[in-house]
Amino acid sequence: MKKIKSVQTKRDIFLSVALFIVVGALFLLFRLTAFNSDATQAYIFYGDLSNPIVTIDFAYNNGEGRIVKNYDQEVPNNYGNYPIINENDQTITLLGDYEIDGVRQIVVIKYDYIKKSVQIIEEQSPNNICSREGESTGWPLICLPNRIRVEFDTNEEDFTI
Amino acid sequence: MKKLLGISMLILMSFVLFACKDKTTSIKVTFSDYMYTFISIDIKQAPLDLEDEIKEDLEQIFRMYHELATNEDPLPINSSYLENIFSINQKVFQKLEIDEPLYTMLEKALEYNELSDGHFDVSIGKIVDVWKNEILDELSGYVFDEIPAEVFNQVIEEINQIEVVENPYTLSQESGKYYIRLNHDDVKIDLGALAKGYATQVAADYIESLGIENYSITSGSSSIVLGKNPDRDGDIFIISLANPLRTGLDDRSYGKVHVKEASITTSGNYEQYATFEGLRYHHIISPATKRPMHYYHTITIIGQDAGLLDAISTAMLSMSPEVLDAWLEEHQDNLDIEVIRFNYDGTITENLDQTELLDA
Repeated sequence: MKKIKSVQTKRDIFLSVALFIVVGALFLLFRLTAFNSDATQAYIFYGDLSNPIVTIDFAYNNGEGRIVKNYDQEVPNNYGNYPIINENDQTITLLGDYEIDGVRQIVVIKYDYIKKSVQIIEEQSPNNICSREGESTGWPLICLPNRIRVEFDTNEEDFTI
Repeated sequence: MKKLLGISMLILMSFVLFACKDKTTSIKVTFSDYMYTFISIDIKQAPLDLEDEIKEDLEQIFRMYHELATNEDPLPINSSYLENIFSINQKVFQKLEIDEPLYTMLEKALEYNELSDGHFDVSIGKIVDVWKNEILDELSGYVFDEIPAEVFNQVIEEINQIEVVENPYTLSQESGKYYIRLNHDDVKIDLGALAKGYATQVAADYIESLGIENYSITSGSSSIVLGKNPDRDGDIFIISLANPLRTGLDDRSYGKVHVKEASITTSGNYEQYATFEGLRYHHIISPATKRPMHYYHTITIIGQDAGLLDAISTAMLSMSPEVLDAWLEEHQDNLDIEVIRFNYDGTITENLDQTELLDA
């Protein structure tokens, strides 16, 4: 009787330890997939919106890359539809806030899947500061007064100052 | 067997409960209408029932300091505030009642003026205006271009006519009310080197008052306040330091630092400048010489108060290396700050304590 009880106890301990390991492994997997993605992405934002209008997913399908339009930019009807995504030219066009003669101007953003880079190639603003920033692989591109910005998600750094 | 089943259920329930954790949410807000920059706030594990309230309160903080501190626009018609910097600047020699938050910020400005031995001075707005309007104006200036000699000489002539006043404004309190009086015709207050950092620190203090530890606030590319970062080992944030002399894709950063539960601020000459005889003329003006100085391209400070860092990094750009060394000798320990200078000749000087400057 005593022997049977001892075998049962050993089995209980073994199963408990195994269960702990399985649960621990599941938890670690959850943590890793939830918070430490290796994906390198760039996000294009407009105005005060915290959700990006467009996501450039450089890492999709082992570097093949893809553009994800998350939603339409809200603009007055007479301006048409934005963003305009041109996969042949690898450009994304948004409508900026800067006006010339009362007309809002476009901001053209070029992306490169191989270099994992983004560049503002066309914009109207007094000093063209954001297009002067050149090509970026992590440096945020801030376009004021157009109120458009590009931010990167990399594991190498959180912010640039 | 029953015992085993019981233990298994307990473990599984603990896991489920742990995974669901408590009623918290992540908050990410962005403002583009305040402080003339993008402000991004990222909060992890905020109380779910306070989400809307926190968003509203944070916007209110930045809106208030923007409206009070701007010297470009009057207060909105239906504003509940008494005066702002724009209206105060129009009323020299008048004793004006102002709101407490503005009074406190102006009091800090005087404190930082004294602390920096006069290298930080919010009262030289008229001199700043001459440089901004004639050299750095977005449409008619010479941003990133060479300044013609006749224009440069004209600017020097104009700034020489403007006095840097020793006692530029007087603050006073009577019966629970707050007052300011500008004391000289040449005084124009410009809080551009203080308001952004100051408001960012107020926002950070608000977040921490709610018991939230995991957060970040970035105000443009110059002022950041950081809590803990649960996504990285050691709860750190990795901050890349912008190379003010960058030429392309490969040299955009000159180093990195790991920061948590601290503020980091950079003042520099690289975002907007014009050149004259090979030197960069930027928007940070020395009160002593009335012109931009050329000792450093950037000054980066790590510390605990974003308002202080904003003001002091601005002041340091106008201090010669000898003056800055002596100043740090006297104040660095008391203020608990760490400093990285990107010198004008491209070399780096570190006054670091716990932080390590890592390769880019």
